[in-house]
Amino acid sequence: MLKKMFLLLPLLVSQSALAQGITPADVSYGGDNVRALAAESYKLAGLSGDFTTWLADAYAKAGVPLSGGKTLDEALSARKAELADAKTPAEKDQLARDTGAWAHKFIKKVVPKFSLERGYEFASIVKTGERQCLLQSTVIAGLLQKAGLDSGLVMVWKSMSGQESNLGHVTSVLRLPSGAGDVQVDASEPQPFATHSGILAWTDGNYRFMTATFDKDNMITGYTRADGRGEVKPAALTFLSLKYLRSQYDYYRAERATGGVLGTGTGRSNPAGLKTSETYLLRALQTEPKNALAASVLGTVLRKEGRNAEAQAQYRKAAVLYAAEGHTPSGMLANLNWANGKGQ
Amino acid sequence: MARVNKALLVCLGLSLGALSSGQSVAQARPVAGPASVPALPPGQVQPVAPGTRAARAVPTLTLSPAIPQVRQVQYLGNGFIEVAHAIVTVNPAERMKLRALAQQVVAATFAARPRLNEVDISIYSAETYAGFGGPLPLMTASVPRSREQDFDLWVTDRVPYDRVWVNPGHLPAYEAPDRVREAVPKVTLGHETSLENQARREGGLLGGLLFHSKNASSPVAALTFDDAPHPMYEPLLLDLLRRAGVRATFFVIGRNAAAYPYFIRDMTESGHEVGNHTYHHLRLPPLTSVKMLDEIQQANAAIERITGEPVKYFRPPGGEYDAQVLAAARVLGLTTVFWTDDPGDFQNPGDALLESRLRTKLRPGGIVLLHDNASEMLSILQSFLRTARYRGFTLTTVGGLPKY
Repeated sequence: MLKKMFLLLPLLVSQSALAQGITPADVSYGGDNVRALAAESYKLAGLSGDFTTWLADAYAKAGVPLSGGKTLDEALSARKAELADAKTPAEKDQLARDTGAWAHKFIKKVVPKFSLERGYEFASIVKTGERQCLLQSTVIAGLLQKAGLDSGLVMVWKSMSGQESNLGHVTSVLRLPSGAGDVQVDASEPQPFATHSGILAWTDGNYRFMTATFDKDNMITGYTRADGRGEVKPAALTFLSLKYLRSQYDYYRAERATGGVLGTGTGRSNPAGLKTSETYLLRALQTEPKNALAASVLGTVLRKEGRNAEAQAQYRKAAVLYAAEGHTPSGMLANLNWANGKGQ
Repeated sequence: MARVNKALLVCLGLSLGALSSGQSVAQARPVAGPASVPALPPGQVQPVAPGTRAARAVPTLTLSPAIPQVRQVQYLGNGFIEVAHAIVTVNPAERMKLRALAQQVVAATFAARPRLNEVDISIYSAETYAGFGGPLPLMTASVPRSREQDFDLWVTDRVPYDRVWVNPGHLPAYEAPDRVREAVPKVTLGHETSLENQARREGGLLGGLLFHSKNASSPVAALTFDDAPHPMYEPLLLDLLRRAGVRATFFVIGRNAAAYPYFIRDMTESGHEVGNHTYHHLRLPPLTSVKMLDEIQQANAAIERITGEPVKYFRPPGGEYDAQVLAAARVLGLTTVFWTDDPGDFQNPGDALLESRLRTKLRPGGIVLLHDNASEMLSILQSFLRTARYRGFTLTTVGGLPKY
């Protein structure tokens, strides 16, 4: 009976999400979605080949085996079978945690370097061995999904040390099969299970800023909405959608465009770079209009382009998104003040 | 000046969108050059842009007995082969019998001119037909004489035939293409940035821009054709290039690629390169960024569905661009390709002048711009390819140019 219930859990969660209008991103290793994300990145880098094949080759060479599998497919299939065969919820949860820890170790081994400047591109994993939070979380969630686990991504706005940012980080999250709670699997941290307290994910009909409540072993037992409108059980929280992920990949391309909004590679922004940032952000917002970070940074790009009236209007639009999502970061507040003629 | 119907003036990716019904060409825009540009028949493909001289008449065939749905059958040769293109329009009741009608028209066309090597056919809705640049056909097919039996089997026994396309009915909504006269690549709505200036000056691939090759000492130039594919000109052009052993880059209009996918496959199978010339052949700078991205992305998708390969190169219609256009291409992973040599085949300057322009402007590292649907181009291409070879030039694809 219990086994049947556990098998039904992911189904119940996804149906609940569907009813609310979003589906958590299916980025299962080898699946169409992750292939498409990788193919776009390869194209931008002028790279030929296939990321799924690259990751399989990396597994074969890495010396970080899972369930004795000689190939990555075999390993993930074997783990999926072990999870199905586990007798008790506690056994299942332990196997799920072990799988999360393995994915954490595996990605750090096969992609040893971290790069904010380039690591959001699948092509960078292959070309320079670099990763970044969004990409590593996509890969980890995809491996866990392929092993039959419920996993996805959330944005982070408050770090393990309590430092706030404007959605400056992303982590993957593993939902324990027993339904007891979630654990964050973050390859940016030395240990597999992180404790970022501020996250953004979907619940109650919108993306919302929430704070996580941790129990022992870094397990999240619940979330509190940052707007003070109640508690959220893990099962009622839906991970970021595929649209959001695609939008966020474009966000990072905008942020790190050569000569773009951060002046990457040139030391300062230039017109061509800003236009590239602007275009990526417009596409990010076309893909996911609720991406508040993309909306606010578009305001900054327009301001840097000297289009102040448009920048002000854009900041106001972004402010509406943040307000609806339950929290306005300090940087966004400063921008809104400027837009309203109250600050620099 | 003859009064012309707007629907009769639609050409390859180029319609007189600014004309109101009953307005004449001269009323719409001044026309330089010859005294006038004559009214053009339906299906006319020769661009009609400001300053354009009248295209030479393309011969037509008369089918016997006449088939009422046939509007026109044109044919043309390239010195080696002849190809005909039949334009057929049908009413709603006739739509259920398109295959049989296509078979009848193809057979009658071959019978009308035994020297034809290929008959291509485009069947449109009579209600919406507005020429080649108008709403897409309901069905198209390309029937080389050697494949006529295969085509017949497709009609009678539904045996798969690879040179046919049936409109699935869910393609991007129709938009009238712009009349864009190719000119020197020009920035609109702004100034050239330092990046563009550097790319133009130094050549090679820089920041997603390519004005000319990096290595100007090597006698290599790229041969490019805009506005492809067209069902009569394409097989003639591909045949000439094949005979000369030359590969080129075709900047194709996405909607036309979708409607004539077999010509795109012919291109790639012959080693040519397929680039992006937007989906509807729209002037990009006036569009919003999102619309601009859609235009380019839709063309990418149409091409990639056929070739299975990512598109690498992009050319904005008319060479008109601004910073937003370049950014949109960059965001989609495309290199924007300009040209060094535009002999104006688009404007029908006459064979001698066209050939002379091509000869004198050909230079190492250059990029030659031609149009696949200009009959004068077809007349002088063989001679130009021969001249280039005698002068030691290798004409190749954009991808074949030295860029670093």
